[in-house]
Amino acid sequence: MTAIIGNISLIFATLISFYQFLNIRNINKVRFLNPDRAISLQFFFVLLSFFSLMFAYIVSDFSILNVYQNSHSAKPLLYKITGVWGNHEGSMLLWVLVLVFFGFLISKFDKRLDTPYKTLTLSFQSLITFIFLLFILLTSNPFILISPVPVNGQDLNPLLQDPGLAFHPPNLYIGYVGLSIIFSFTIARFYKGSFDSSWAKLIKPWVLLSWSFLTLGISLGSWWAYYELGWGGFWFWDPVENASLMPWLCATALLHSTLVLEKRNTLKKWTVFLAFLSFSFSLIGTFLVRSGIITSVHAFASDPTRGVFILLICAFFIFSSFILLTKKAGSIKEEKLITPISKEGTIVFNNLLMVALLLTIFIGTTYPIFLEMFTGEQISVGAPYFNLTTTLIMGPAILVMSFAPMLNWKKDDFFGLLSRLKTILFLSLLVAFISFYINSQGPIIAIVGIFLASWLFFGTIINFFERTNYLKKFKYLNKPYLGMTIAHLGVAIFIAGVTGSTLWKVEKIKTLKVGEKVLLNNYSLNFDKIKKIRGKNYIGHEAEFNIYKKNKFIKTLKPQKRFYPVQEFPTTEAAIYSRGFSDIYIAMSEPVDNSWIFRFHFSPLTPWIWIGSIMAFIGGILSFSNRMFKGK
Amino acid sequence: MKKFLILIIITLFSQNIFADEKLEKKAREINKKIRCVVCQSQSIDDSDSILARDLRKLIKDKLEEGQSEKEITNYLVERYGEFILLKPKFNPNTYLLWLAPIIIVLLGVFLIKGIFRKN
Amino acid sequence: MKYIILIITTAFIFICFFFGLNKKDKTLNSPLLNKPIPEINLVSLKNENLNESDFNKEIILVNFFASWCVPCIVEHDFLFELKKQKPIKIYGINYKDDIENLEIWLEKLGNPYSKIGIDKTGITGINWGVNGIPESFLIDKNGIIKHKINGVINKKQIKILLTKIEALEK
Repeated sequence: MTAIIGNISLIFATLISFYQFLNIRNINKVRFLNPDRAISLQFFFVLLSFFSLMFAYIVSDFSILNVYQNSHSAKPLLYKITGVWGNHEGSMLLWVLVLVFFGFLISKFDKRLDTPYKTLTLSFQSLITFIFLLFILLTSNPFILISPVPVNGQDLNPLLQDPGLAFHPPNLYIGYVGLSIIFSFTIARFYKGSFDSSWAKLIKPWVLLSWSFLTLGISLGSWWAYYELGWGGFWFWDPVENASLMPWLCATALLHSTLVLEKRNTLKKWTVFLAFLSFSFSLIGTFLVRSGIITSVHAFASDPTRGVFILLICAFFIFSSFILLTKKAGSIKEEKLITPISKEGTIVFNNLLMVALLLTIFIGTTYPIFLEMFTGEQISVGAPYFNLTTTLIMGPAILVMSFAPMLNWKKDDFFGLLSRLKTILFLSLLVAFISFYINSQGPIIAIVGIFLASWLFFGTIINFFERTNYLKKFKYLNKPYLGMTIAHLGVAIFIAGVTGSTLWKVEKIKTLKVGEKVLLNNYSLNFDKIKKIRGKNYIGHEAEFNIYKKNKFIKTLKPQKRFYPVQEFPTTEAAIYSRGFSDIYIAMSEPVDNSWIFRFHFSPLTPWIWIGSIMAFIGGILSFSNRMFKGK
Repeated sequence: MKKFLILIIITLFSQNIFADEKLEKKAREINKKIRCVVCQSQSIDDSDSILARDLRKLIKDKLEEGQSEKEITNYLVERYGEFILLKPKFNPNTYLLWLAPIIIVLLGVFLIKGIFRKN
Repeated sequence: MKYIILIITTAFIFICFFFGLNKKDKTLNSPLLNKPIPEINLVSLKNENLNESDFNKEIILVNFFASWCVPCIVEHDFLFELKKQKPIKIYGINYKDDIENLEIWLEKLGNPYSKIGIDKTGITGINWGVNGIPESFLIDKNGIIKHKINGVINKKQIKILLTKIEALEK
């Protein structure tokens, strides 16, 4: 029954989306299916289908193959629900849900759009929806039934049974799929209206929304890896991680390019290109992750037919948009040139580096595929390559990012700029030296990281004080400016966090018996107890550590080692004590006779990685929340 | 005299600890460059899988025997292929990979020259 | 003009992806193929030796397995199947296992191995470039590794093995 509802809803949604695309000129052949109603119905049916699947998971309806493969009656309810999108078919359904949801949002809430343009945009969005629904129906239907009905399911990967991971995909998808509506806006604009600053104003809130949620989604995934994968890392340059970072870089470039288009009515073709490129990288990311072309533990189960289908979908959207741009580029009139020393000059610089990094990451991620194809050689391109290239490219970007908001549009004064930089330089060097004094055993490059973070921080803060006349004019500051400030500060804090975490970490691996202790920095970590534990679908051990600093009790940490019998999978539940400026991290490894091996970290500034990311998210949402939707 | 002996013992002992620490540090440096071939793109320093643990132990043992980083990585590459190195070697197969970032940036600079106008 | 270059580059990338997809075998190639067997010096279950001198005479299949490895149970039947079709010598290498568990396992499922080397620490596994078990190596009469199977030897793999063995017998 559930499967029937699920399937029929999908079919209805497919038909309506197809109709909405065909009815691109809104000739109202079917009276009641005007664009607004059509998109609302699409949303309704996909939502119904999604809820059907969720219902099946909640009641453990194992007659549905997808539920059987990815769930188990012993799973806690929360993870039954989040298991809906912890697999290929369910997550594709989530993807489509967000697609129609954005269409619905445009239809219901964006009052600035004139009807013809809105109709066109929704039609193109419906085309995207239609193609993905076809993909689901033909290759990835979550409602396939099995018979006889198994008694129980095969359980979900225990690594995914986790609150952090519950929220990671939905946020990420809002980001990825938000880029689709920008794509639709852009294609539609070729046929109705021109690419001018009013268009930039139209798409800006949607770019901000997508960008913010991409930021949040990526940082949630990274945070999850940190505490769940149980060994202290937060970013591994895995192809799946890169697949989310590439659209993010593109969206960042697009966000800034849109600003230039809005304020100076220039960089038209470039902004259009970035709009296309952003969604393209969302699609390519989907392809890399789901097609099986890159083998990765993170990737969903792959199937070559699916891979070809996704590749064709990517090719269709990417080529049609590029060809459209090629054909119509001539009709886009651009006159103004840009002065290097100006706000738009710095944004061009930002865009150059963002795209350079984006392409570098793309090449690094796909190089093993190409090399193997042409030479048969199998190599890895891992963290060392990406860390090196990223820091080299981002270094100059951060340098400029600091003073870019200070510059005027159109043209600013080079020497005037230099003198303002003196203060920032002095403060940054001061902070860098102080940090070197505190942490002198760290590598020299850590100082560079702290310097860059401070440089960005002080530049942003000083600009903020100047613009608000030292907070006197604070209430006249518009939200976007405040949002930008918070976001840029967030980046600075993020950089400091990454520097501290990567370069100043104190790490020890020790085998301990109960009663023994280890010294970590100024802390004494006493291994006081070990006990057996049992959860709803796992068994394991839990160690109890009591942390003391100079004989004063600080906290108890209880790392666990679990074993999930159904999937024969061990996990490490690290225990983390996060104190704002640093983390103490304990992970259990394996038992050796009557001792246990533990890994201990003292990670300075690590919480700042996520504090900074959240700040960037908040900044973006703040800018988005500006009164953009009321009236023209 | 006693004090002198104690001093000598402490020095020798701390040399050992110091050497141990240095070895530990070197081991971790190498570990960060070796891929855990049964994980996602983690290094064996980042993973607690069985193979990662065994490889870490192997590397530590070999360092204690006095082998160099090059000898150890060659040993691993002979058995697992270049796939196990997270930092791709710089050879004709990978020139394009390592030079790509520079080429892209230069290309970008060339492309944007057109939109800048002189002050 | 720039757009044409863009489109051609993109097309090239897509064509490569398309061909990349069609590559069926996503496993890691072994650099040990067509090279002599790596070091091996183990004590066997019956307290004999299992080392290089046990090779170099006939075609051998080396099979890394363990009692704690679930897919190995499935593979076990296929090993008997293989021996039925071609009476080949199989050496088992018991990887990071417990001898008691091993003996119980062999009693329950049977013993297709001529010799079983005990690799308690897994160092022999690393020497042979083993990622995880089961993994098997086909070795010719001169002690050269001719084929590696990542994962379970199933019906499909048996067919491949038989062809290779026949080629080596010539």
